[in-house]
Amino acid sequence: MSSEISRPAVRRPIPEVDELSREFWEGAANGLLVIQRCTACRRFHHPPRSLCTDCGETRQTYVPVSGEARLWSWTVTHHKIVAGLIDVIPYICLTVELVEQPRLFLMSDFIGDDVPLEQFKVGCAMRVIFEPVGEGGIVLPQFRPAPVVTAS
Amino acid sequence: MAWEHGGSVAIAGIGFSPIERRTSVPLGQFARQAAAAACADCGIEVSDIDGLATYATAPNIGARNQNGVDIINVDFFLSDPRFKNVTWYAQPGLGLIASAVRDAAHALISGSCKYALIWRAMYTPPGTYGLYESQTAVGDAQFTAPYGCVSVIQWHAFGYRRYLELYGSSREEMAALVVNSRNNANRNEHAYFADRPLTEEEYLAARMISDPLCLFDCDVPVTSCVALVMTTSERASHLRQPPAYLAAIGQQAVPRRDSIHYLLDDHIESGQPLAADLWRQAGLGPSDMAAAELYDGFSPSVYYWLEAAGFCARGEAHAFATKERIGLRGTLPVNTFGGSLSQGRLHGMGHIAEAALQVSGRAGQRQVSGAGAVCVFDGSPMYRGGGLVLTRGS
Repeated sequence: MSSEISRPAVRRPIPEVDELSREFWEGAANGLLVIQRCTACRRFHHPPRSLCTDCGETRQTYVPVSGEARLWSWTVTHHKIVAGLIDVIPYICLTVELVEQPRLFLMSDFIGDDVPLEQFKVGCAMRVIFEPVGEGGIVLPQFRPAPVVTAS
Repeated sequence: MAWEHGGSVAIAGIGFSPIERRTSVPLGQFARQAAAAACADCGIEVSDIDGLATYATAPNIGARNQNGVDIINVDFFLSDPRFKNVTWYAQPGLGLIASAVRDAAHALISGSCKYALIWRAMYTPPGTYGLYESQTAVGDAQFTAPYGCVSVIQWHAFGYRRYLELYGSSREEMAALVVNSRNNANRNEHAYFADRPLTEEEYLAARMISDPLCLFDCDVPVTSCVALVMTTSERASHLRQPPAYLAAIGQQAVPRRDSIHYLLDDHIESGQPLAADLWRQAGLGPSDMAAAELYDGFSPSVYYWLEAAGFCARGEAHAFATKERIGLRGTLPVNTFGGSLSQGRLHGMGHIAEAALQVSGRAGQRQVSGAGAVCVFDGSPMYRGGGLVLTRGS
């Protein structure tokens, strides 16, 4: 693609990092997917919480996870929903379920048309990648269909 | 065990303001019109109202929630000199308008007021409805907004896509449901789309909002107010209209799962305990319902309520909801007034008003014959909605 073709502007809302989310965003900036985990009952929580919603323990920690997930669902957004993404409509939103725990969901998006829609199938294997967004060092975890491993 | 107060309170009067999209008419004027109409409908004076209840929150992203502009809260009528005898009010923050109806029922049963006015005012702002304009994302939105995924329509789209794939459903099946609602709206003078038919072809060709949800899968934002007068059944028997008796009322409470978006499983599993509670209270079941008014902010919610409430098995609503079955002459008429989809986004109040009209025999061209009991389920099942059952006899 010619570098002279002007690319549509993507102005993502930028996360306001707080005490609960700090380690998540630090991990992502270092290319690691880390998720909050209860020190008592070992349940993962995302988004992070100030205490475990299962057992009430306040001491939570962040642990690295595999980055493997299954595609829960996806949608192609055609409508003005987030002002900063109006110029890149239509774009794909994904929800993935991490393999570490049932119902442990993260969101992702795909802006652009390099991935044919047929690749997005409910239940297909996904893997994390990391996308710098260029504002304040924020790096977004994103998910893409995992490459199929064939026997050699 | 049945609800001991079942049948002891009733909806005695119903009032509608005009229903418009964007309008220069202040929302407060619509509120005054609806209140006056509800009182006139049952034959009481505005000054007879001694109880006020509403769910006032404007549900769209970016709403100002400014009294008199985009919401009408309790203060609006408390400031109105005609309402000089009010001694009780409620404005629940959770549970949509069904919670306000519930609060009013309890107040009437306990004798805290005699005639309660319950209203729901909705407003369409200028510009794009529900646009996220902030350049930052705070709290849980840190994990949704940067991905352009903040809207309930996108979260509903996730669920509907799973539904389509898991259960082998199709948009053609949904077309029948959406067109049925539009047909009903064409018989409803209080519907935004009263004069506009819709065909299945138009539905299938409509532009996508968040695939697989198209324009006609979303309720149309409107500016309007609908009001009810509720009182005890004894007082209602002296008023102008046949009462619509409250046989059951409940709130969707558990399981309430912490999640960044709406999950298909949660829609069903959180609606089931609410429905079970309503059937127990009323001593009735799905097969006793002459009609079902099921919240349809987005069309798939109708499927979820049909399954959660036990009208059909899990995963079967798409096959159950044929035009023959859910039409006005079918075995289970659904959204007989057009639903939020075709009446307009009244956030469940249109459903309650219609249920009352049906059991009191006042639904005109939409009347389901022998409508002895009608249920209402308000809200998306996992959005802390509520429900009620209205009956013709107490």
